Amino acid sequence: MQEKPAGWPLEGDVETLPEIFLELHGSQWPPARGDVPQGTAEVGSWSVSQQLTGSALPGQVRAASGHSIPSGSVSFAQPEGAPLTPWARGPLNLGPGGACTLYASHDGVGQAHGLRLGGFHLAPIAGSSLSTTVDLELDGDPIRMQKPFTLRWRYNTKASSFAEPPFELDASWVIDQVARSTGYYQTPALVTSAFLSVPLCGGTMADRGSTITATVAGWVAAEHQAGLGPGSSIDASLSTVVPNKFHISCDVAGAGGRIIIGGAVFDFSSTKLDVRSGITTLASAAYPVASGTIRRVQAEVTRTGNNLAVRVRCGSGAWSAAATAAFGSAPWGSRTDTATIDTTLSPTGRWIRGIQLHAADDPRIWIPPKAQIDMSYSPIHAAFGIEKVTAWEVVQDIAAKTMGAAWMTPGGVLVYRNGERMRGTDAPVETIEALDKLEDLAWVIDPGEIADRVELTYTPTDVETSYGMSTLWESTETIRIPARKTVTVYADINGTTNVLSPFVPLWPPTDPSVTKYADGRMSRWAAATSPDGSGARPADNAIRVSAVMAGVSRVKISITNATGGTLWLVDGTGSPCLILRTGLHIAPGEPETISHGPAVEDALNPISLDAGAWVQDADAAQRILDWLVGQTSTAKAVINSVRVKPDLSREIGDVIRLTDGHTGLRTEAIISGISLAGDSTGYTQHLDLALLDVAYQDFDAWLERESITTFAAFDTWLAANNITTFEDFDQWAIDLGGTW
Amino acid sequence: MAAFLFGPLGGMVPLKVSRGVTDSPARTMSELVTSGGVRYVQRGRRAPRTWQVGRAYEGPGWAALLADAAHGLLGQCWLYDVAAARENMVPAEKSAGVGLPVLVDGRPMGALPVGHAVTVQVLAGRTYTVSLWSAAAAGSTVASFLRSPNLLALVKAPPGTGSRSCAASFTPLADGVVTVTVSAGGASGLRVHEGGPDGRFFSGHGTPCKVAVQDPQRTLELVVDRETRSAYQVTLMEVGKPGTV
Repeated sequence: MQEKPAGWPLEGDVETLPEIFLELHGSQWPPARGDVPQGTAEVGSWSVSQQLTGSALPGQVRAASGHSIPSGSVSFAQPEGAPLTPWARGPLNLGPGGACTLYASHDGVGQAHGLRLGGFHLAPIAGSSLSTTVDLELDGDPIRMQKPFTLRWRYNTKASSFAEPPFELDASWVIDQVARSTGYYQTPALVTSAFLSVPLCGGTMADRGSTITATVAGWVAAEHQAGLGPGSSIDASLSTVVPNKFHISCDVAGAGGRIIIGGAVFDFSSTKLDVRSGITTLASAAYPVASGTIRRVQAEVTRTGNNLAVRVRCGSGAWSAAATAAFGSAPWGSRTDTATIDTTLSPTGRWIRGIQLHAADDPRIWIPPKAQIDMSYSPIHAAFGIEKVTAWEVVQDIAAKTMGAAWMTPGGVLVYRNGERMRGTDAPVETIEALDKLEDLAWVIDPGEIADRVELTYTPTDVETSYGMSTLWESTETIRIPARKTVTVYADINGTTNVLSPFVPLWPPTDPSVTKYADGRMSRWAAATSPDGSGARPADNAIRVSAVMAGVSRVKISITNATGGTLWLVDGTGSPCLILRTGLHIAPGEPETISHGPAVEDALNPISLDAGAWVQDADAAQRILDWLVGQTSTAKAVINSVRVKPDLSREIGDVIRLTDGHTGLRTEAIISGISLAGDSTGYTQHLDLALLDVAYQDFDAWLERESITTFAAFDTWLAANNITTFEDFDQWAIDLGGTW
Repeated sequence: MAAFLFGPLGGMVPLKVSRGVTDSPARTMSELVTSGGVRYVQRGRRAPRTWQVGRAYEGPGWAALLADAAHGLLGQCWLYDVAAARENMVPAEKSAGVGLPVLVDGRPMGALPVGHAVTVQVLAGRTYTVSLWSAAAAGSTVASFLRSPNLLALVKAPPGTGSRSCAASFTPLADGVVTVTVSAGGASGLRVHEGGPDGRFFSGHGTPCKVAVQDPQRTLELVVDRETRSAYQVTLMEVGKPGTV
């Protein structure tokens, strides 16, 4: 539910209609009228609707397209005398496109006191000589997310042994990367003066500076969102040396986390910052305000000689008193340009993310989040196969494959809700009694929603570790490098890697003091002064080759010819020769299918879902299969387009309690669609509701309410309430979702 | 004395009308009745008015200005309804707020926020009173009003305790606007009316207001050598947002 602005009238039986305004951002039209400024129109008739799909919600098990785009229309009165047209001049000149916001207000024009109904861009605009209105179509497609998306990529996993590396990413990290690249920030945007920025929203890659090696024990959710959980350590390289005065900003929950610079340990807990040397606490500063599970905190660090003065705050308000930590020697050297983010030490329950080290104070740290991205619980090694798709398609694809859902809220916040929450584990935000609030209760159940066999296909990864012997790519064409020139080639590899083996010549080193690698090890090049490989062999340092990851599965190779003559990259026989190798090769493996129910030939109504490479972990795949089995074992009812006593703050994805005194319905439901339509006489709201199963959380909440902590107490309660047969128990359990 | 003045701002002239003028406000309403038989109503924020005015046995001079307005020769025309101006010239939605209730002439109404401002058109030579209800201490400023050219006056709480009407009167020398701004919390029942302080509160629709004029309807009554006499009927429809100039 959206929060209503201050001064919004309380819900009552008689509602005074709010005014509806359309603000066209940066637009010259319509001209100012009365107290309505230029670029804003008071709307006559309007409509907005949005349907949520995906995550195998009831009614959509077989049609989870994942797309959830609001749309709408408005019309407003033509100015008297001088109509708006596409051929008029100045502020009467209509133009299509452009962003706009529709909002309701009880306090006149201005979004400050308004309730947003949606952010859109203008689709076709229509008018006519005989019409007194201008009619606009509104399209909620997030335009910024329609561009092709390129994932910046660095795989940091420490490959110090031949053990299979742990999953370094949560699939939600990719959504966070998409969101950040399109301006929807869950953790603060990169501030200008930052010399290290690591969002840590399910992945270790840095925005500024770079993370070098990472040991990730696992991502942990706080308020459903991913952060770096206990037992992890990330070494980072800063983009500048540590200045004498700087700020550390981060989000912490639970016991927080530590940032180590040289010999100084900054330990951010949920209530205070401790500055330590080793394990000795030298100074502490308590946060002035600390509320909420995730706390955004900031420390200002000033170094004078061997001393560090620190003060902290939560939000842009007042700082705590300064505390001074006196170190025995300089806490770090003047050339220090590394830091470590660490959650390995006790206490347990550490959680940190959104770390930025920045020289100057920056208000952007405190901008409210424009993205709410849940942790997906689908751990992955890498994001495969996201070339040539738009940002929005990436988000929707991940949402659909992880049984979650993604949408834009009317408030302009990008939401990804994971499968767990889409089952309705959130506390209901309101109770709707059908007799009192609904015009009708029209339900439908579809046998097509039932499946006796459920199949899920996922893609485990193949991990190959070696001493630089896994070949990623070999050139198939002869590369010609003119004298003293550099040629760049892009190699598309299968899968990805964390480190590319350095290039050495194909032949053994001429200089016996240079390390000789076995054949088949290291990246290799061979060159000749003629394309057929004939002629004298060039020197060992004739060619310099460097390679960096330019994408998940793309390597940029730069080859420089250090000699005064043209060289061709061929071996002695004239075959192209440039070989890229790695010590850790991770690639999508053979898709694996897990199933539940009778064999394929016996199944009457099977359903199968391909989660692609967004599910790489067997446990995650099993969990998704279980969820699908639950959703398809019986047909769930859906209630489509039922008119309800309107409340403009309702949002799709809200979990509500639905009761009906007439039919005895008591359940929880998720709002999967909202249609609003209004004109001068009033407005209507129609809801689509998907009824939810009893969730374990309901049972848990019930136990807590009844103060039942042992099986014996549960037995006693059952006996006292005459629940003696399994049939009674079934009925009781079904009703549980509605007992409150 | 004419019951109405009509014309463009700064050029309003008396409009003599026969008795029996109807003024019908039209507030939009819609309803939802639930399956359990519970009714909810939505209603419009404002009730735009429509006046039917007429005059019998008049020459064409009576309808000249109205006809010009109907033909669109005059730009935006306004209607000053004297009876309404004596009640309250401030539109109801600007008279009270959503704060804690204040007793206004015995009726509880939500307090207005500090800084709440409303602008009203006033005519030269008439006495107007700005009033609002507050339990503020005697002598404290409850509101201020600014009228052209740059004359600022204060509305102060009178002696006494409890919620009472705080009023100040003025007589403008020229047509113009007056902007009233609430300066203290706990005040409601904002009223600007034509006349002296009377310690009462009436809600209003906003006076004067912009109107659209339908072409005068004429019923010929007499045509002789030099003159014509007709019965006229005109419909005036309130347009725009009351309380904005």
